[in-house]
Amino acid sequence: MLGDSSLKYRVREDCITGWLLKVPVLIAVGMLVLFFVVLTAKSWPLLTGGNFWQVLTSSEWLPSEGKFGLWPFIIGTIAVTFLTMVLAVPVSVLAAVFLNEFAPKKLKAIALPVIDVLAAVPSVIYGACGVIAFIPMVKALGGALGINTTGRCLLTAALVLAIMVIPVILSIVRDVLAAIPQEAREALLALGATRWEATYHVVLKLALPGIIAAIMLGVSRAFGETMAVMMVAGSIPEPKPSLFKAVYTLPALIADKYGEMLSIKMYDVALMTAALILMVVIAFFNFGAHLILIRLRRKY
Amino acid sequence: MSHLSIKDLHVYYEGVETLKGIDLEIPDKSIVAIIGPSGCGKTTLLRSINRLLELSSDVKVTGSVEIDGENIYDPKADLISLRKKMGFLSQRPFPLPCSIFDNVAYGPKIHRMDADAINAVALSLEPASKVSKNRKEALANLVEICLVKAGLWDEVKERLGSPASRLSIGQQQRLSLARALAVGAEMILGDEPTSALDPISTKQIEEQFKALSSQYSIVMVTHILRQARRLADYVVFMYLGELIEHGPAEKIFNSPEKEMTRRYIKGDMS
Ligand SMILES: Nc1ncnc2c1ncn2[C@@H]1O[C@H](COP(=O)(O)OP(=O)(O)OP(=O)(O)O)[C@@H](O)[C@H]1O
Ligand SMILES: [Mg+2]
Repeated sequence: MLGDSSLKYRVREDCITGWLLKVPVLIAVGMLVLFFVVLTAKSWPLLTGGNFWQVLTSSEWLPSEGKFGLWPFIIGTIAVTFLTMVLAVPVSVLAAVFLNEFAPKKLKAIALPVIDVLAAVPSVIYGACGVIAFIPMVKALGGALGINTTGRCLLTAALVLAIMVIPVILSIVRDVLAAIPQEAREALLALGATRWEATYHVVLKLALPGIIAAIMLGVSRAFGETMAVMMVAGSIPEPKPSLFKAVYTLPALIADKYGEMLSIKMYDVALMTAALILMVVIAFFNFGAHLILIRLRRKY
Repeated sequence: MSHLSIKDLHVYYEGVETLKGIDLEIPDKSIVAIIGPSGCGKTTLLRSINRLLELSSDVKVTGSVEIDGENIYDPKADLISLRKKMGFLSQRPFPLPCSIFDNVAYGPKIHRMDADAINAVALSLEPASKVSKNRKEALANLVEICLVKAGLWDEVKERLGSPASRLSIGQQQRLSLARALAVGAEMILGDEPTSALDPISTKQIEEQFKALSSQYSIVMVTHILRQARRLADYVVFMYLGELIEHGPAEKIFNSPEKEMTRRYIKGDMS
């Protein structure tokens, strides 16, 4: 019974490949769990020390006195990310719409590869450009407005980050728009809609889940960016963020201080707590984004 | 009711001449079938009529397409109102990402038609239709009439608010037809509008076309000769970008003048 045994073999093969394909997924999930477990374990003394709430909300950062108030770093990270997205999202979405729907073919042929290269430029280079160009510019702007600033501030950090995430978001949104069937546009134009109406009513509506996914990616990038921010943000903890004042973010804090002064009691624990907060916020954020995407997809 | 005439139409894709001087008067209130082997330029001809052609890159068009004496290729032509006059059914229907009702109401909404304009379209579709001074009611009446005329009403009247993408492909194609009727189209263009449909849906579309042809000019591309025989009043035969022969359906099918037409009709050429 050759047929029988070969069928058995094929079923077993199917079973084995099924498992093999699952391995990478399991590794990825395992890594995530491991991160959480390690970070939680490392920050355990602060989490359970009774004054964790104080760690989250206090602005006193005096490690030598055992005071680890993370609030300025948390709010600093949020402020930088928020301002970055306010600057970057309209620009990148509009630019993507223009490039895909309205730009002449030649401009497209030049612009798209350039954008992809920009998206791949390492963040140190953006940071360096920020130091050379944006710090003096923002300083001059502050001067013109009568505000005393070093130029190393929230606004500069957000500008540099915006320049950095724009190509990323733009490139993804462009791909999403390009994947929308031409029939969608034709159906509307044939009814007598203008190009803009066709874009606005149908193309953007169909692309919305993709655009949201692109924005999420931009947020994650901005939220976790370390190097570029460290180079231009001034790195002074400020409990009340302000455009022209310095800002200190969680990733910058961890990168700056980890490995130094670890002889101070609880210092490493505080940094690990900062890392844990970063992880939790990013995880929640992505989870929420997924929920939005699932709902949108179900609607149409 | 509008009249369409095509004069000395040439189309070039990337410099390659694809339509080589088409002259054609489309007879009013009849079904015109454009037939011919694959790649002969049927789609190109149809899309040049409502200028959808220019969405493809690097196309050049010379000559004229006149609708009621107005050349659609005139730089001063009002492209939007010209396109409005011509409903378009593509090979694969595309439902707008909104409800069934909103799909049909979309055209009147973007054209900001007021109650009177909406009533006028409804009356031209169905002289006995209800009219209303209230724009919302007028629109609801119009949507119903368009869906009735497209042969879709009975299947969707209970779920006008549900997403159009949940309809079957055949229903979606009839929804496209209703959508076109709602803007007051006076002529219907179809590019193999039944090629993605099953036999029953095809029959439904054909029946709607037959019924509408007493009021509208319908121009459809088809590569199914039997469909052309069933439906067409007038047949246009094309080959390699040239118009070989055109005339009333019985004449083309029974006693064509050109040898090439005869061979195509007999099925020797595909
Ligand atoms: N966007 C384009 N760019 C370049 N060439 C094109 C383009 N569209 C069509 N062509 C060419 O023009 C010719 C006519 O194409 P068209 O689509 O009009 O043919 P058709 O008669 O509709 O064929 P079918 O029955 O297969 O749909 C073909 O040779 C095709 O390759
Ligand atoms: Mg075709």
